[in-house]
Amino acid sequence: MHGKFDDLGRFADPSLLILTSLADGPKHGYAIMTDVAGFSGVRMEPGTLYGALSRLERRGWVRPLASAERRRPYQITAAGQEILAEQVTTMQQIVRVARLRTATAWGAP
Amino acid sequence: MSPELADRLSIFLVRCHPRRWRDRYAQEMLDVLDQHQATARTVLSLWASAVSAQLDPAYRTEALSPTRLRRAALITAVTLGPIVLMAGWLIGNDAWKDSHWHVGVEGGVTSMAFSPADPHILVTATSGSMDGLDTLWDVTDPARPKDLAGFEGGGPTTFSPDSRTVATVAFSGQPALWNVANPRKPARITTVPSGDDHILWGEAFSPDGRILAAAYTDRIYLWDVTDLARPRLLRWLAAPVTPVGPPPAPVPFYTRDIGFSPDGLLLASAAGRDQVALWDVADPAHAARIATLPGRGGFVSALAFSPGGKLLAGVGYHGIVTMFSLADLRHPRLVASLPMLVGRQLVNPCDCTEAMYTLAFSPNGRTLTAIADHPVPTEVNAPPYGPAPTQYARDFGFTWNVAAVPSVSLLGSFSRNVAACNGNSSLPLIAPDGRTVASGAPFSSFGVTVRTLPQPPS
Repeated sequence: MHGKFDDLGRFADPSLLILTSLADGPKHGYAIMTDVAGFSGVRMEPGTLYGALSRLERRGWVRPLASAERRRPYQITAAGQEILAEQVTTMQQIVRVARLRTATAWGAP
Repeated sequence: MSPELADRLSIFLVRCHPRRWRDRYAQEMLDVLDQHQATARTVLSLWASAVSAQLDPAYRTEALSPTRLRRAALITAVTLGPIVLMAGWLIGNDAWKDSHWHVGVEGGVTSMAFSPADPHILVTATSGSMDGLDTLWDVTDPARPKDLAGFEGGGPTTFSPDSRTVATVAFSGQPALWNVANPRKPARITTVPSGDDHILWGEAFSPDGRILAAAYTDRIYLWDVTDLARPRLLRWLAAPVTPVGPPPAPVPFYTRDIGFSPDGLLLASAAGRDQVALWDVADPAHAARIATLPGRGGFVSALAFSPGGKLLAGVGYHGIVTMFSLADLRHPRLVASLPMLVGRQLVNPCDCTEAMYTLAFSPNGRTLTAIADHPVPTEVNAPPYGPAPTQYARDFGFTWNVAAVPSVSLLGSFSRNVAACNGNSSLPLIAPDGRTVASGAPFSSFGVTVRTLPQPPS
């Protein structure tokens, strides 16, 4: 299920954050950075952002829109929404298992 | 790593990406960098991005060759070399020391002045006339400023040379003198009865403390304040300043400046739309304009005489510092025009009044420091990611070596976020020691930031 993300290596987390940011509408680079910082507390640097954006674009998960001067907004594609949903399902599974196991370890009912 | 070096390295590293990558992403990334305060983390992320893109087959226009590998190695050396050097330099150098406190009065800081006798005493003025308040602070420990006392006031506000008197503005809009010899118990001395109902935008004491110049929209009044309790009008000078910007929001008057030369024989004041008026006040009762110095666009936000009085520097709101030689008073001569550049742009490129400035020569006269404060781009301030990012503007500081005018060289520059109201700049001020800087946030109660500048390289 999450094999598609595996070859993104260390860019997996920024990619997930970017897809989440674009899920509610197109944004340009700096707006993505501030949005991600706002909802996750992760301060993404420009090099990381564009490294991940270029990979996401190459995979067809985001697409660039017409640029306004130097600012180019990006939009999540249908394939991107699909992969994001898959990732969220996987993460929910991880969270569920982690909660169960930590609850056991702490002796909670 | 200094923000200036981080900015430069970041721009350099964008250029280090392969051509195919640059054609597609470089402009966007430079736009992001314009809005982002670059740090060592930014540089490292761009280094990783550049090396990764150089080795990425998708951006290859040729096979992976020894040339490309050498290029990746060169980028690594050029990037990491300065970081290692900077780390060593920073360890041995002063870092910025920031402190921030809230003045806690609606209206924000509209004027500030450091005590000439003790740079640890700061007076802040909030709001304007009618409802303003002056507050005396002890900022010996900037992390824990002591509120010494408050009294009726507002902008403009300034200390007398002996630091025993503060000139501010009374609720009536006229200059008011307060005895602050005991800063815990300020006492009103008098309100100066000029009768002028225009806006009072500037006040300055002569170096001997005997003359108070009070600048209104149309006139400058020279008062003999030898007897502080009974000011005596010596002369008024026709000195109109031109409001900039459409009504009802013309230029903020507190960004203009007026000051006496160190020997007290000259008075310089912002004038017209972008000029500096130079007045002979050797005999204040017969004071007269001796020169009108042209600016470089935009009203003059800050003025400074060199300690020897031979140079007069001014800065217009676009961010160009002009320096005049006063060696021949009949013919003041422009000796330097120094743009405050951020990247390739002036610090305030737009024809607007957003930036605020301060200007000061070092006590030994060998360097000149100018600080521009500019709002951080709106998107940083966009809700709902506050409160922290909504409260910042950025100071851009530049220090020049002016020891051998007309040869002037930039010694260093720096930038730093300071407290401000959402979308507005902050009011910067350099203390007489040349190193302590205060930035006050107008239009809000976000307060004052005090910090120490790093020692410029010699």
